[in-house]
Amino acid sequence: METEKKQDVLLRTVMETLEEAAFIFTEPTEGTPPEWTEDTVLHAELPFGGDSAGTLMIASSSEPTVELAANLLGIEPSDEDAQEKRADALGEILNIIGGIVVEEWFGTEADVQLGVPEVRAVDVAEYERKVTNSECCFSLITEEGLRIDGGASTAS
Amino acid sequence: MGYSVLIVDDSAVVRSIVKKSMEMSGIEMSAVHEAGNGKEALAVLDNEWVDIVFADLNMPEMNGVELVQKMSEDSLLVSTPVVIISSERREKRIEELKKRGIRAYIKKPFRPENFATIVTDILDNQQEASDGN
Repeated sequence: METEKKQDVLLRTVMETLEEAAFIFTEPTEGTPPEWTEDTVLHAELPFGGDSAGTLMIASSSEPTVELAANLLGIEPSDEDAQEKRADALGEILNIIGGIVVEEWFGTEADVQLGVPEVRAVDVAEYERKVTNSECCFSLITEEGLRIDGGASTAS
Repeated sequence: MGYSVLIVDDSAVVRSIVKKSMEMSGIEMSAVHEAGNGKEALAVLDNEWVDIVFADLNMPEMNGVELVQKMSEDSLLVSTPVVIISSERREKRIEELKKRGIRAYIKKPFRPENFATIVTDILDNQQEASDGN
């Protein structure tokens, strides 16, 4: 699949998954994305391997990840659990996105296996370096004007 | 009396979602056990009676496929229904798991109403089978 098509699939899947699984409504960023609101972002990375190998990633500042955890768990964002489980929630949403993206990119017959998501806080500069080196990337903006970004790379 | 349930996933968020889906489906539960991987799940199964297992595939230490394999080799666990809940969609992998005896494969994200239908069917069939013995 061409990179442009891969990018379209990735963007659509991220938007639909955030909307359907977590009730987070986003739009693609037009022009230059707004500045990150914090010095670090929460960054999730999901490796995949087999017939095709690569990595998917998603990054977000705090607020959308707390909302993500709250919505997945069916609790209020003010609930302590939403704060505690935000990293776990970001990893899980990437896991769901990964399953759909890999299927659409390579088909259900391909032997492509997802790994386990790794989530950690990274400096904005480190994240920007990672995403610049990606084969395809996306930048979304939430209804509250906050950024959710990500990308993907394939090795073969 | 309700059903004793084991939820196996390295994500606490997913374990909560599965538990909530069970509650929403109206299936009475007497106990909900949780495990973060297949190894922890086998430890629970060694000590507790479990009516149904919900397991993820991709987990650290021992994944869902290995868990299903271990359960199929144990005469006490071979008839315990296992439902795989995973974001993996490879047909080959799903078919392999069905051959190894899993009762259902639920792709993430899932709708609570679909989850309820699948789980109710499995538990009803299991009940009928044990009533027949």
